[in-house]
Amino acid sequence: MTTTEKSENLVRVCAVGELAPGNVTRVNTQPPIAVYNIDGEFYATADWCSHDKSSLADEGFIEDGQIECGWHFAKFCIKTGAVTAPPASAPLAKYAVQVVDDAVYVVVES
Amino acid sequence: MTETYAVVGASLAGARAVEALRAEGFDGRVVLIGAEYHLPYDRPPLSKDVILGQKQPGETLIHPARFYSDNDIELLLGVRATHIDTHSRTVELGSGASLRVDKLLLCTGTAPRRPDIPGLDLDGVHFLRTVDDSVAIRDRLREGGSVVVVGGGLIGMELAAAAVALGNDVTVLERDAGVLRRVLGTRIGDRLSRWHSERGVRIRTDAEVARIEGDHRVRRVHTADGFVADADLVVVGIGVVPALDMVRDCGIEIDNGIVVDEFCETSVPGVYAAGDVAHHPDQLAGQHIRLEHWQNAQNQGIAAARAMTRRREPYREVPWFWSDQGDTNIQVAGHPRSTDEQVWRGDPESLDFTVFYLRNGVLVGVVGVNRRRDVRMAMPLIDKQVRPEPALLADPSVDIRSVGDGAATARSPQR
Repeated sequence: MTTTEKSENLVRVCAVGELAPGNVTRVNTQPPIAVYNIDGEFYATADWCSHDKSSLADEGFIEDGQIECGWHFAKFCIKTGAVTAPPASAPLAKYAVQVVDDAVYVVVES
Repeated sequence: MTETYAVVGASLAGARAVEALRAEGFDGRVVLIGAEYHLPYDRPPLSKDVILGQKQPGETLIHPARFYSDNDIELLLGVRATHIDTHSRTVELGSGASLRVDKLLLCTGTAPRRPDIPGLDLDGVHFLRTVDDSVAIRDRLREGGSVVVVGGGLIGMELAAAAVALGNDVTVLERDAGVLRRVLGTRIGDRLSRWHSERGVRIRTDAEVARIEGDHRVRRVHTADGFVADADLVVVGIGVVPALDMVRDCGIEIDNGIVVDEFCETSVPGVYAAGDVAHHPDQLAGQHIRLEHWQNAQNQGIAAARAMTRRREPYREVPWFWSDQGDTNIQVAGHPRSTDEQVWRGDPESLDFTVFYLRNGVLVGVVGVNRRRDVRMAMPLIDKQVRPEPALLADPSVDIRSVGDGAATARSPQR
């Protein structure tokens, strides 16, 4: 069976009020996703650091629009997923975020 | 004419340096020379993940093989650089060949310190520095048996935790009155010592190793006070010494390591050094220091490469390292000393605390056990040399980031 159409699932993250600016939360999808609130805008990236699979949401550190891995201090731009400091070299996957009825959702392809 | 920049040491520092040379736009010839046959790899997993079989050696590479071809970096692996002629700018190689360079970066690192005792050459006696060492120890541990670890420092205790988790009978012989005391102080060292003991690691302190005995392979280790530990495997982890053989007698200043300035340049213009071997000025310590840390290898390698490409920025970092002993994570930043005033956040009896080190009121260091974030948040404060109120540091309800700017106010303890 083949299909050319990707289906998209909305996975609920939390209520808008539950993720304050400057914070990050983890969605336990496979693989997990990190969802950030940067100055009131929501962004989502892969949760695992591309260097050594630590959870960015659980152990990371947000500063200047970047998420820094808690294990070895690799940094990524939250908006683009791009690497901004070693030891990571691969960018983080990005996910679309939607706000519907005062709740935050990530868009996951399946 | 095309310039040639060579990096000696296919290590973390060397691999990050060649990456940075290309990232900075250097388009000449880049040659990376390494004594081992392996592509540059990360060493932290060698005393834990690789030993436990959680990582294969190939998973520890800093860059995949194609990175070097994609970036036109020439690899000379399995080749030892033996001498530098600073006048003719030539690096002599163990193969008999030599390489004329325009600029040179030395990341020669360190080698395990060898104790002056009989029996080191017996089969089954290992040091732990290279990936080959790690794989050999891993394979021996799978056979099971009695393991003696000589030296209760970070590497020795990481290895002890891994070996006991694999079901081996593990004895640590430590010369001091307690393991981990030199690096973490008496109180934290002793708390972690208990953690290891509870997992079955036998720790013998005040134990000076006198000799290692065996027949066709190692059998036992004798201490100076007459204690004998049976051994199928001995791992010696008593520290490292800078690898300076190739830089002796070539005019480059040596003092503890290769002496460099804040731009990672040695006393010979155009010759740089970075990583474990570099004796470099540390602004916070106010003196030259040599660091044997992963962070310093990575970031100083990058800083040196940038300086070579004329993006000269002084290297300035708050020293930081970690150790994973089983599932216990230890983080250290700055320059903590046992003589500093120590402020505890969390219960010393727990394995969930942070200790702040104040010298004349200035925050100079931090140690966290299973508290990565506390250590990370304290690092900018150490860099700024703030004078925090000890009560605020000790109060877990106070955001560490706020104690340095004078804005923090002590809240009443939350119940």
